[in-house]
Amino acid sequence: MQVDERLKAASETSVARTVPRRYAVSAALNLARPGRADQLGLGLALVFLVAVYAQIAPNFWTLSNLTTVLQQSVYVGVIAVGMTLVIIAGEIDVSVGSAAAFAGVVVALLLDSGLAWPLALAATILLGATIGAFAGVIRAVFLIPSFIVTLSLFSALRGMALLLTDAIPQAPTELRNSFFTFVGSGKIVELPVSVILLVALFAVFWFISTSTRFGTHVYAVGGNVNAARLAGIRVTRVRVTLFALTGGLAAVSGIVLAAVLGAGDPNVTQGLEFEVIAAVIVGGTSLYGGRGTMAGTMLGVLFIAVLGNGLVLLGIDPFANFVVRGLVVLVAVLVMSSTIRDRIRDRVRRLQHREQGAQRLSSTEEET
Amino acid sequence: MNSSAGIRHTLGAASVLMLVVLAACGDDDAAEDDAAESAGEAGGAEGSTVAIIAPFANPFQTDIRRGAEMVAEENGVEVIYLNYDADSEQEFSYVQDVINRDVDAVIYGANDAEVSLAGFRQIESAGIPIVCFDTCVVEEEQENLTEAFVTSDNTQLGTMAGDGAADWVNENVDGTAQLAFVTCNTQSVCRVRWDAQVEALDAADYEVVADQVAVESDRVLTTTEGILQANPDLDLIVTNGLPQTEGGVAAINRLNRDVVLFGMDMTSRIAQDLLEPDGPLQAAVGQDGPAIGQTMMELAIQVLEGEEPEQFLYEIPGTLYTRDDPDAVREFLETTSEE
Repeated sequence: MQVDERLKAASETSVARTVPRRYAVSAALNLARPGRADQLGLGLALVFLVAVYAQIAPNFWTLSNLTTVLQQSVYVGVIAVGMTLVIIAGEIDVSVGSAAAFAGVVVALLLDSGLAWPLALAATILLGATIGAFAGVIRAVFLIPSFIVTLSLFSALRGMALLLTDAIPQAPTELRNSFFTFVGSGKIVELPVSVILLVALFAVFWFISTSTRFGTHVYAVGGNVNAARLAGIRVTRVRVTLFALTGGLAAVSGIVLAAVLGAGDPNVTQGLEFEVIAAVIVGGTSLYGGRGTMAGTMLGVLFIAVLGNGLVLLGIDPFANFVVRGLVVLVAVLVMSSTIRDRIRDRVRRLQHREQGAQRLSSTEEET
Repeated sequence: MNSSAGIRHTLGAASVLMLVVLAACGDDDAAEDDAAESAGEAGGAEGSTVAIIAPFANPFQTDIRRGAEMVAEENGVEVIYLNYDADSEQEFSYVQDVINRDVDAVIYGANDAEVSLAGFRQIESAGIPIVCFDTCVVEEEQENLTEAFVTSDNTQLGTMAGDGAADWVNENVDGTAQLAFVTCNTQSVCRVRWDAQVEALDAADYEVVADQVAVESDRVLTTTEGILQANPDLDLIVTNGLPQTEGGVAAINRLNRDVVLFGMDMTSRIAQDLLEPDGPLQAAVGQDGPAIGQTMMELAIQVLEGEEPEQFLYEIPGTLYTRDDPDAVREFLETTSEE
């Protein structure tokens, strides 16, 4: 509450007035959060897609397949909850796909070296978070755009994964022990463990984004970094924490995938970063920062998973998947675009004015 | 603010120092390269530099590389190993690099028989001899542009896998079997295998209920899960590459389905799947990567020593590993170069 007041005051300062006022006010009052109309629209689109697939895709509407869709959304979803905050803060992380492959390889190698699985697990997630934090430090301290920093990691981490393994998937027998089998394929009351993990992470990140000071700071930094800084928010700390989170989450995603495959494969998750970003954008998060919700992201993750699953069930070439996903993202960005929204709003207003004018004219004519 | 600037300066100084150290290492490498070049010019293969341009990184390519490097080391040949990761733009960039580097010979695995032609022509025009491996350019240009071609007998590999699947159908399925292909058919070598598999499968009564291309094992996993969900009566899956085999097995296991799989390529992981009691994998055809690597490097050395290869095409046979012969699988596990 105190921060919100300071943000409001900051948006009135001369520095804040140098950036468009609507952004500063938006950051200060956190107006950008709701996006309920976007979520409703996406929710309806998802329901429509499910209804269509239930009619035309063989065995789509079966418990087994719907469970599979949820399982397939885990790799993207786990990272997407962190990526949502990163994008809301006006940043981007394109290294998550490589980071996931790297983590899968690291956990396999650690297990192969004889390290106990809880230690291997913790060390891999910690390493992922540390690498993410390193990217955050470079971004925040040297003020290098996050796209450039994470693009470097995108290449370096994939290379490291290949270098460590000689491109050979690492399949230690420990990766098939009861814990990893439980994570990869286990179920609790018919619900896959990996899906429960995703739901738990979603709940945690939903809480972070809506009910914590850190969540407010993330929106503020993404809405207007100058106003946020003037309000006393430690922008550097926020940025480093965000990249540490996506690094750690990418490691979790990589470990889950390695558990499913029974191997740490350095060649997997190519293009995962774009699937994650697509899910977040489709979910209504603005690439310009300051705007987005966890609920929207989860709908986006589900929408993209359902879209892909149905295409496979229909026997359509998986390459068509890429085309469809690309088009869906484009449409989503167009719908979210403030320019297009403003134009639609203007057109509606003009039509309303014209209608009102016509009504006034006809009533005057009637009177005369 | 001040502490932030301090950190920035410290990290900046560290980065500059690192660059200086790297540059110094680079100079050492350059000096060694010059020495190797002059040795190459002195005649014979010893001291020569051979560039290997490999299509991607996977266990089979690693086996090839190890075989080639072993022969190179024995003969005092320096190897520059490049992998373009199935990216044609990167492939042509490496072609330029090896020409500029003025290597003595190039061992080149094409991305595609048609697309890679330009790269082969550039190297040949620069007067550098080429031995191609795994995949070569279109047949009519092969002997004009290259000295020799070393590859697995991909038709034989496909036939072996197809025969295995056809026998299984004839022995285990009453009536028409439901079959799904999960392939790497974006690559020409995979298409050759697939053609042979389809031809061999003519001996069985089957219906193709799904035919999907998926390249990385995580994509294979999701694609195969979709196929399994869409086809509850599916009997078998046939694949023609390593990620397709690994991802396919993982999908069947995760959905706990009574479907069998006939795969391609052999790694310790695949061997473990074959030894798994009641596992879905029935057979996998292994390529002999080390033998391909050794043969191609021996041929490159022969060419550098001024000798003509005895023949143009060297087809290295593959081996069929099945769950019915666990001893052969265990022997593979003992001898594989994977660490």
